[in-house]
Amino acid sequence: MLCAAGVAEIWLGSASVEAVEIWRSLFTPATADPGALVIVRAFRLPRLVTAVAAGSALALSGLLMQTVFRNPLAGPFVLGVSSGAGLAVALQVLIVGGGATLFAPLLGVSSLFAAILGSAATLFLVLAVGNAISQPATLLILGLLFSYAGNAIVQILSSRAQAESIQRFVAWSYGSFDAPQPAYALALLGMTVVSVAGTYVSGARLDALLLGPRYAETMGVPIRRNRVLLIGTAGVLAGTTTALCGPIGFVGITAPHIARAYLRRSDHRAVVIGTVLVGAILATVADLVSHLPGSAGVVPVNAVTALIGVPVVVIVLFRARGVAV
Amino acid sequence: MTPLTRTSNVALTYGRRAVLEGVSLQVDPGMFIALIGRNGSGKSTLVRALAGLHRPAQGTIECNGRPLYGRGAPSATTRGQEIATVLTDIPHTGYLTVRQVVNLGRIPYHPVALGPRPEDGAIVERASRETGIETIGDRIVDTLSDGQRQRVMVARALAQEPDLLLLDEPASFLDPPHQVDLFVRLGRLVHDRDRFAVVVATHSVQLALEFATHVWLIVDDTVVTGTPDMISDPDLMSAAFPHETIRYDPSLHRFRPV
Repeated sequence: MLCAAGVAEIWLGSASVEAVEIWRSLFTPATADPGALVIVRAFRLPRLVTAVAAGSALALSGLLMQTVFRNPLAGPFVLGVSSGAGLAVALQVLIVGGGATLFAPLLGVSSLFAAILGSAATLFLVLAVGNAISQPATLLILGLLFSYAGNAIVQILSSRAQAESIQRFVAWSYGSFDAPQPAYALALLGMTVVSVAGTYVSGARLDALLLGPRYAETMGVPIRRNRVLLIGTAGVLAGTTTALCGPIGFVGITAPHIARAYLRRSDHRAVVIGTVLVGAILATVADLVSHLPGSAGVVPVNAVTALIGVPVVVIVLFRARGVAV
Repeated sequence: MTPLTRTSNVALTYGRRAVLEGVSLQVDPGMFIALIGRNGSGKSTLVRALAGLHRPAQGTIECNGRPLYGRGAPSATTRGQEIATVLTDIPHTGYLTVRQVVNLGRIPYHPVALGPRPEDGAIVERASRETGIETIGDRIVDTLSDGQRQRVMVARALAQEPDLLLLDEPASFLDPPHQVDLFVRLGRLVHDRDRFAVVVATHSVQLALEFATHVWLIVDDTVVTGTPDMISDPDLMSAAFPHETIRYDPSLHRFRPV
């Protein structure tokens, strides 16, 4: 299915390209039509890579958060992590970025760090407050409040920022896989692959966390160290993705649920593979829909992921009992 | 012979409230100890302290001759090979099967991250047999009854092949025959296994006195130890379970109105 979505992603787009030309552009660039070559190689291929990287990174980040918080409603967007990253990026773009033309090459890197810092900070804040939370839905409300606070600060900042910076920030906040820097997308993909491998090999220890922190501790899974490691990983993945593609909603929270429900398994070895595949498919499909041929403008990716994700979250919300993941 | 666990002059607090003081206990291999006491007397806190989950405010707890807390304490992994615990809560585990949950007990023996080893299968099977869940290995734990899920948690603890098995109210979700069944099985384990002991916190005074080899009775803020016969004393029981109209009847091993 990921393959199908990938093919469709390359093939379909706002500008139509012949299938033959796509084939040539990908595999025998020398014989390809230069126009098609540019469209496929410079736009669609990087977009596919970015969507796959971002989708799988967000999905894995969501899975780790759901396990650590033992909360089926946890996810990077829901917990306000994306907002935290957004706030950090806003601080960076709107304040520092005001006179950043000099540092244009550095801009990407610094907002990347800002986003990672912002997302990690939000997560540890949620962890600090969320320890006392027993009802899954409460965590959701908490994340929502964090988002509101973050957005409020962004608005205050906006009132004092230059129009150009605001425009750039607003465009970023719609979410998009049009990769300005494909190298970053590849780096994100690499990080995701490493994290997936790490999750796979420590599958049993993550399963132990499903029994709760006390049980995990009695089974030789020291809880503090693992929490920091897992939340750190989730934060870096979500933060990097957010810096690159904007705050993409609902992929992180929905992908693990779809994977678990489809596989009817909860052991992390199986679920982690399923989750990143579902995440990649979701993101690719969302990007595909947002670039459908005939759509005059481009629909924000966030609008599409929200339409897919909200029903899933609603179902989970109604089925949520206790801390089942 | 080194005792499995020894506490010296331990004081425990729950939140800011002091619950137990001057607790000096010893667990030797072959002991089947029942821990009884009234609600809020600190049974769970003591079990958690012995499990390595609750650091005492005062005193020391040793496991196999080494301190359980502070300097020289075993790693979580080593502790997981020596002590296994069944807590009061039975967590939801999504789609995990019985076998998968019992398998989690093998984690302390896994070399970092390599997962199950060939010999794990036999150990998991034995633990499942000993708890009577060997026929439901492929069922999803969350679809089972509370009683069955509690037995799964006991099997998981046994799969850790611990020297000391701690259980906090393991009979609370079981119907009467299964409660007796659990205590019979625990007694058999203590008898069959080498260098093995059980501490079980329970509300059932009757089961405790009938099946345990030793009883720890919480009186006021400390622990009185003895054989079931020594503990089955009306004055001692009245001190431990004060009540205006209900008294302990040693001939029946239970409480009744006077």
